[in-house]
Amino acid sequence: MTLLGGDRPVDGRFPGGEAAGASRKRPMGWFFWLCLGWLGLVVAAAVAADWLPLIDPLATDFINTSVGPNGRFWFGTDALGRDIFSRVVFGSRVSLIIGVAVPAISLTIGLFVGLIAGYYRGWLEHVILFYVNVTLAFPGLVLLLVVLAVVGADLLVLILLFGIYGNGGAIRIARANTLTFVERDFVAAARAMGASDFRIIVQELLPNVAMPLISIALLAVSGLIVFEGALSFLGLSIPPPAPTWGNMIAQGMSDLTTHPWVWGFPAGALFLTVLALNFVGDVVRGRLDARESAL
Amino acid sequence: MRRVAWKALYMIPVALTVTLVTYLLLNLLPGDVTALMLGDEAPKAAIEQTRQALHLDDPVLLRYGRWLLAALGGDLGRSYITGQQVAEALGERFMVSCQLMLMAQGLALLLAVPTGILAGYRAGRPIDRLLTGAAFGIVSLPIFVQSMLLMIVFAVVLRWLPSTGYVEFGDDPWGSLRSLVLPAVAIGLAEWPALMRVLRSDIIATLQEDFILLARSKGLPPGHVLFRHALRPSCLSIVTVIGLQIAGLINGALIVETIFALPGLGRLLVEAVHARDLLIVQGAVTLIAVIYVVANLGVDLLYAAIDPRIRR
Repeated sequence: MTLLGGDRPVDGRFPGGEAAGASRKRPMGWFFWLCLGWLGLVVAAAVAADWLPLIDPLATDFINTSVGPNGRFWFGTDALGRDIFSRVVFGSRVSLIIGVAVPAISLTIGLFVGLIAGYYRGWLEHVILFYVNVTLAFPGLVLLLVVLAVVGADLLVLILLFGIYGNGGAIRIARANTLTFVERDFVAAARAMGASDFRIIVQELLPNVAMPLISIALLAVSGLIVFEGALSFLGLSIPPPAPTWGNMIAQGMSDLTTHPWVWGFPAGALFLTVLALNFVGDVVRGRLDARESAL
Repeated sequence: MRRVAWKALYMIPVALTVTLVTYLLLNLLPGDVTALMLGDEAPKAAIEQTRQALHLDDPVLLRYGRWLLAALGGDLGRSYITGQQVAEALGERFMVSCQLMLMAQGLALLLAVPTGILAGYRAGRPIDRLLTGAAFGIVSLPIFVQSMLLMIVFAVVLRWLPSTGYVEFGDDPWGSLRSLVLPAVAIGLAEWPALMRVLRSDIIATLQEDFILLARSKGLPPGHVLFRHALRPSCLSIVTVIGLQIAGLINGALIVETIFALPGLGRLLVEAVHARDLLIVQGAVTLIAVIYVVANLGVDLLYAAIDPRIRR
């Protein structure tokens, strides 16, 4: 166990005789469970939002505009008298849908394309790497702006756009891992037994190459949630009046200090969700990587 | 060195493809340029004349080829809307973005190098946990929220710094620096965690090396060992991350530029797409692609400078 863990600590793990594999048996800290609990709460609220006794997030109330948090409006109301608590709950949906769907698409595409590039090599690999370099050098903002102008801001369009455009990193990781695993003995053994290329890729390489991508999946989710928040903030995501955390925060910009609850609660929800995802994601990555280095 | 030269050659078609894709993409945008130039009620003949003068009816690939030839000669054309030289418009905005990037990246490094070394040297100790925790918190704070908090504290409540707007460096150097402090802090803080974390893990690895053991056993003080012996071989990852950040910043500073009302490249890009000022967009994308390529090559050259073994 200490062969790999002892002399060079895996990033984020503390050195000092403690092998990377040993951490698997150590119980998770309270902060981990707190983060997981928060994530569970956010997901449950987003899924059940329609059945919860919430005020309509789009209903305006011109008697109660810009009211501070109180017993009736837990998080206060915005300048149009819309209930911020309800908007925060409903706003989580866009963040979660984009945050889950986009990495699911881009990591899956990246996995298969990277596998093919790393397994077959040759001109195919060159074409794929060229594509990766172009997407990395291309300002995605322009693509987004043009697509928004041509097709309009639609949830499905945004998901497909980011899922297909943003897979350069995943392709690189999958290809690099494929290159190392192809050299391993178990692949040579499979080949000696007459396994087809397809079988080698799916049965032998796929599970191994998928692991590092799965280990960063939660971090990709948090990255996408921040990204979607930034786009909504700039008015480049789902158009209002539909609530998203980003557009609620942008709305609060106009009275930054006089009505801090307008942006404070969505910003807090965004921060806590991203923090929880980062923390849980980091622990997950540490454990999956530890398992891999113990192979 | 040959590897770097090869990569430079390889990046040229990448940059060219980026400009081609942009040209084709912009061609999809709805709206007629001539209507924007002449107004909606312009007579048909005038519109026809303008279209011919601008060769708008030629096939798109022919127009791209013509644009590319001119661009290779340094002529990016004139804006259809304002009539300004595209290169001139880009230059103005580029200076703002560059100044912002230099200040932000300088600040990020100023924070990251000492904290990264300290966290790596004291790995697992309270100070390392504190720094790692702080990095976690800041990484989880989206940059637009962080910018708003900075603005509230330093511009609205304390009134130390201006909240929005940009002052030209030539007009008032001190005022110009002041106008970029808050945006630079926002970006610099956001970049700090990644830089610190990679430096930390490289320092941890370097400190296990024999030459560090030798330096220590000679009785050299820890500060000397860390800065003179351990820092340089631990710089490879941090240089990679800096290169990626610089390439990303030129267009990625859009959010910060928007919040603090700075006339940078990111804003220009958005304004130009909305105004259908296609040649400006085309020029800006080309500039960004070139910067990406140059930043990548810069990283490779720095590798060679840091680690002499790579030069061979």
